[in-house]
Amino acid sequence: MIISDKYVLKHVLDSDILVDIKSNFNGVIKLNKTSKEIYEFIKEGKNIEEIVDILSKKYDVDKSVVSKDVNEVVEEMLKKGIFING
Amino acid sequence: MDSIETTIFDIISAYLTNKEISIDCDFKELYNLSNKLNLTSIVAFVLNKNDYNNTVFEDSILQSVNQYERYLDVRKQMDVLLKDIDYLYLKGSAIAKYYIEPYLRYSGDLDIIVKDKFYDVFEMLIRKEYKCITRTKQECTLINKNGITIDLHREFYLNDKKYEDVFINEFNQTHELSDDYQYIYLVIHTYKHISLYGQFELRPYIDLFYLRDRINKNNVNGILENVGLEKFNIRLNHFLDVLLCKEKPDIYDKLLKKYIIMYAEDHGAKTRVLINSSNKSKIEYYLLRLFQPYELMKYEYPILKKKKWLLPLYYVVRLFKLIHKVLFSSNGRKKYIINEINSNFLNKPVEKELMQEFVEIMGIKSNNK
Repeated sequence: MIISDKYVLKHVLDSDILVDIKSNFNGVIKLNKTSKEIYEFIKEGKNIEEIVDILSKKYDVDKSVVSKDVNEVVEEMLKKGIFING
Repeated sequence: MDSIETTIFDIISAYLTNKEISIDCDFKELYNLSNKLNLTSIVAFVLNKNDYNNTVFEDSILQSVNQYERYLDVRKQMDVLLKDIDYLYLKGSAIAKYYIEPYLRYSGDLDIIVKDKFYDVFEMLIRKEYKCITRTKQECTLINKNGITIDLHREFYLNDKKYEDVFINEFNQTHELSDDYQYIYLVIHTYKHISLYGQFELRPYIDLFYLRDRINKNNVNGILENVGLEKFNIRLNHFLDVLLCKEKPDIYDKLLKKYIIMYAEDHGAKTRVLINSSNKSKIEYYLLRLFQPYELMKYEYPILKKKKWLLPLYYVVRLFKLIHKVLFSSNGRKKYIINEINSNFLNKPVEKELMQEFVEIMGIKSNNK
């Protein structure tokens, strides 16, 4: 999975946002803390299992719970074209 | 509650001085005025910094960020597309990088001046699916599908050869003017807009703030003196010092603030009349608006540079164009024209006298002789 070049990540007014620079969408997508972490991990080239492993250790949460959340975020980002399967 | 006009200047001062501010005003009115002044992002930035959370202002900042990132992407494309061409980025697109956050300056368009291959560049952009919105022989405005506007210029369009000659050798590999020449361009451009069109804006002073500590003052002052703008430059810097709370405002600074607000309210219908009619009767003013001096006509119709004898014909052409504009333009444009015609400043001696003094203090020479 890779990051689409359609979006640019910026930190503005204490928020992390993704800016769509290629399409007609003139808005921005705000990322919460978890989404931003997942975005950064995907950017580094990590796969979903690795991300689940890191986050479950970091927040001391059961892997099954983390896996559900991570997969939801990734699916949403795939739908929006932020991530691309490849 | 403070007046909106006072608040907006206080906010800009707070931005420039990086000081805290307490704001007590109607935020809807503040948004409307900052929009008219093209300063919504900066006002939003100050509000956020001082913990005034307002969704409308926050959205405007995010929009600015969006536009600025799109502009950066377009600029990368331009650098590739125009790699064999002499061109320069001007105004906001060149100055934005000096701001605390560049998106605070960017205004949604890209100004490019092309030295020799204006039509080639125009056709390149059309092939890249840019749409032409307006076009004259000297400049055109094109827009891409993402809403980024490119203003393509054939010349500096500063309405005086002595100003344009200043920049004749400034095309370079970075495609931007040096800091000294950015500053000089800012001063000349501001002068042109005030003296010809009564366009009193606040943003040039913020640009000035970021540029003036970067320049070689001796070099810049020398060049501005050569083109007769040293007095104007001094007053621009004085007003900036007033905004920075380093100087107390005099009567002319207070007038300037008034003109800035007036310009924001009606896009200059009144201030244009005021600055161009300050030493004229009503009839003289209307005649000069209809029959501009040759110095201005030759920029509107470049053929007149070589064939001055065609001036009467082009007065007729211009008259028909004006009538067409009045009859078929948008409601906003019609309102501007009607406001200008009806402007009661043509009949107010006190306002005209004040403007005459103001023009003298600012070092602005009358263009309508």
